[in-house]
Amino acid sequence: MPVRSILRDAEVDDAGMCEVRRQLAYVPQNPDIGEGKVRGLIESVFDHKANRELSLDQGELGELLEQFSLEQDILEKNHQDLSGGEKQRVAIIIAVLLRRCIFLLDEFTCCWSSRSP
Amino acid sequence: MHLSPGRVHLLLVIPFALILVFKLKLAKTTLIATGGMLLGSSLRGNIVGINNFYQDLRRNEDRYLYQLSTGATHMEAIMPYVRKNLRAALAPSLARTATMGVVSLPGMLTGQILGGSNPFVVVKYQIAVMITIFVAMSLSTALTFLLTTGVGFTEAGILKKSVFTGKEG
Repeated sequence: MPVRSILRDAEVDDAGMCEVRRQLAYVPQNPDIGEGKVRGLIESVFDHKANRELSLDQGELGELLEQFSLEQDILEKNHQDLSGGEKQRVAIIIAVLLRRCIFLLDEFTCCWSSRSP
Repeated sequence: MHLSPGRVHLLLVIPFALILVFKLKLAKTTLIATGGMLLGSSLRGNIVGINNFYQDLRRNEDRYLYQLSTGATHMEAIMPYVRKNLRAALAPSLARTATMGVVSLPGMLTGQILGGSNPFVVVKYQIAVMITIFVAMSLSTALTFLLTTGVGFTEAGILKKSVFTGKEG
C-alpha cells in the first residue's frame, strides 16, 4: 500500500499530506461537515477528484442508515438540524463509504445515547 | 510570508494592468479616465470580499478541515467559500448596476442633466460605465481570492494564522 511506505519512511511533509489524506477517513468529535441537506453533503464528498472512482451506492447508503438506526428521510434534512449523535453517525457512514484503509476516530461515540447502535 | 498590505495592493494591480493593456488602442485620456475609475470602484469589492473570505474560513475552519480530510484538494475545499463570498462582495454592485439610470441616478449624472446635457446620452453612458465597473470588479475580486491563496495557506492546505496576526509562524 502506498500509504504504508509513506508513513514508514517518514515522507509525510506538507506536500505529501494530500496523498495521505486520500488514504484515511476521519470522524471528528463534533462533525461540522457543512451546510445544507445531508444527501447533498454526502454526494459532495464523492464529487472530489480523489473520490471519483468510488461511486456512491444508494443501496449501500440505505443499508448503512438502517444499521445505524437512522431514518431514510434524514437525507432530506438540513445537517444543522441533526442532533450530535446523528451527525456523528452520518460522519461514520461517510467514512465507511469512502473505503479507506486508515480510520481516525476522535471520540466518535461521545454523543450516542445507550439506545444508539 | 504573510499577507502584508503591500502584497495585497500588488495583487489588486495585476488584473487592472491586464485591462489597461487591452485598452492601449484607445486615446490616452480615455485610458486614464476609465482606468482610474475601474481601479477606484473595484477597491471596495476587493477589500470587503477578501476580508469576509478569510474571516469566513477561520470561523468555519472545522468544516474546511473536514473537507480536506475527505480527500478534497485545496481548491475543491475553498471553492464553496470563494463562491459564497464573491456573491456577497458583488451583490451591492449588482443591485446598483441593475437600477442605474432607470431608478437610481448618481450625483454626477444628475449634474450632467441639470447642466444641459442630453439625458438619453448621459444615461446610456452611465449604464455602460456601470457594467464596465461591475465586470472589472467581478474579475478582480475572483482573481484576488485565487491569487492570495498562494500566501494564505500552507502547502498542506492549512489556513495560516499569520494572515490575521501579521506575524510569521
